[in-house]
Amino acid sequence: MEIKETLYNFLKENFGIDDDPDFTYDAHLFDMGFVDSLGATEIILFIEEHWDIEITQKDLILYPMNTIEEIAEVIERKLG
Amino acid sequence: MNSTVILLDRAAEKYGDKIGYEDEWESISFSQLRERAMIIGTKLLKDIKPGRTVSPVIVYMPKSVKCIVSYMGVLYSGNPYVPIDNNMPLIRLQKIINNLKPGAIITDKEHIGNLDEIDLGGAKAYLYEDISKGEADISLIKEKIQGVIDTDPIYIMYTSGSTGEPKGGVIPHRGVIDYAKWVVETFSFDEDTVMASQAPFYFDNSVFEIYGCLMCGGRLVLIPEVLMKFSLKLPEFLEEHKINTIFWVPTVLINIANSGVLSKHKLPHLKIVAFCGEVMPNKQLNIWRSEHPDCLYANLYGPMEITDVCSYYIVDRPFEDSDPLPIGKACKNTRIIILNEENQIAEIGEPGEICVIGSGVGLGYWGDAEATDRAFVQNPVNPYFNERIYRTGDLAYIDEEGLIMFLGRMDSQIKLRGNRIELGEIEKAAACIDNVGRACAIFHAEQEEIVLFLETAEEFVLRKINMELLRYIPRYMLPQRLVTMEKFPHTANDKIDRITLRKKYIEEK
Repeated sequence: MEIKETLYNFLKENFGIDDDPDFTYDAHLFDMGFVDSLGATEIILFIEEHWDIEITQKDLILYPMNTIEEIAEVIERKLG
Repeated sequence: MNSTVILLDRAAEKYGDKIGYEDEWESISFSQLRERAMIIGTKLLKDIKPGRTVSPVIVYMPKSVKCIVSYMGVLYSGNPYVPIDNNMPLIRLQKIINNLKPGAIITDKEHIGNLDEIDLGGAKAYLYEDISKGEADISLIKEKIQGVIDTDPIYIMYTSGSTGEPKGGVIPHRGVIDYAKWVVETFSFDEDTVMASQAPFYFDNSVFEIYGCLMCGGRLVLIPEVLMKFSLKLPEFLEEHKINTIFWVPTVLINIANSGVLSKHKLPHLKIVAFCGEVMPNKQLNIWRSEHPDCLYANLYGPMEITDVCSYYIVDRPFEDSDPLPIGKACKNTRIIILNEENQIAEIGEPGEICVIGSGVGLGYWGDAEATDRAFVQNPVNPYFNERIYRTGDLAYIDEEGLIMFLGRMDSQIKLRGNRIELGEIEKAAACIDNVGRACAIFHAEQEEIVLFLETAEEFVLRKINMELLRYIPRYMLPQRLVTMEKFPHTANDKIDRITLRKKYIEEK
């Protein structure tokens, strides 16, 4: 499965997101209220386990990870 | 010492080129801080029209070294500063400006546009980039600072108000001077102290860090805002910056403990773990204590109105996971009394309201005599001389060992993830949404969630309601659950029956 699709499904399942036209690959997960402040940690834990990579604090400071699109980019770079 | 900014004069003399503050963009020495702040102070002194005793200056920027420079600059102008969250809804910002009538606003290029939609009441908005450049008139500043007295306000911080209007707590210089001294003595801070700042600057835990470092010549590293969202990565940040002291809100420490990351990341530099802002559960504190047994742990307590902290407990013995942690004893030069329902001093073990006396007690709420008179009152057990106490609205008792044990609130104010929230403010905001009748917010403490009840015939989903609420209230006040119904249950005298709502929709769920 494509990275974005995996993320999309994970978020949908774990954050109780219904079929919502606003929930797109470039929707701001936090500003638009799809994920709350505690959810951010869950996302990181999922990514690190699922793709067996480490997202460091520097990655988080350097690269925005607010949308599925942005998160997928970071993952791709890591897997690169 | 009359003005707190004299601490900066001393730090610049004593520590000079040593780095005092740093963020992800810049680091600044004590001398540089003083130089730049004096430029800002000079500009404000020349521009702000005299007429009022003090003219508060709003600092409206993301958390950064620039904010600290601005605060010090405002102090050099003899005025109090007002830290404002740059993500605050504009409707709320307008309410604050209407109440405050600021003398000026310091902001940056990214945020000055927001002010176009706001009536500033004649206050001038400065770009930090402009106001921090130019010449300082040191003699003008010296003359001004000599005229400051330690009962003048140093800052005003706005907090949630139950009527929907934010309240601006006014803190005097003497409160901060006293507190900074206490902080440095109690934790033996010195030039080697390195702190990582977690608290937003509009939240008064930051006073510990900003002025603690100024007093001891330590270094304060501001944690990039994005990392606060990913708290499990904070230990990595602490390691990278060789942080030895943290003063954080328990929620962050709890999240880190729960994530299990502490067993992976050893923090050999960390020496002091202090916390304040809400109850710290021993369950998660015990995780910290077992992973980092050599650290000193301190539980601090205090509402904004008394200058950040009024009591503290240095954790000195083991606790079971389910034990409550004491909030300890009053800080030096502070007195705490517990008043029972009869307004008498409570017996040992008897619950009552925490009331605070001392230099840290604030000067009331800016431009709100009514709210001030309710909370800042004459000590009812002292009929002999003027003695103002601050009634916190927090319940506690004193145990056999003389330690204060926190019990909870006397009203509908809550603490959620360290944020102080009046449920009434959420209700007022929710009632502004189209097609909503009345609104009722109830806190479900066990689940740590705010449940919002709306009287409406519409089908609403939580996320959409929250997007509406964000026009009026900050993000941290948003509810976690939504229940809609056409008509609320009523009590006999026609009030919303909150007990039934809680029983039926929260406890039975």
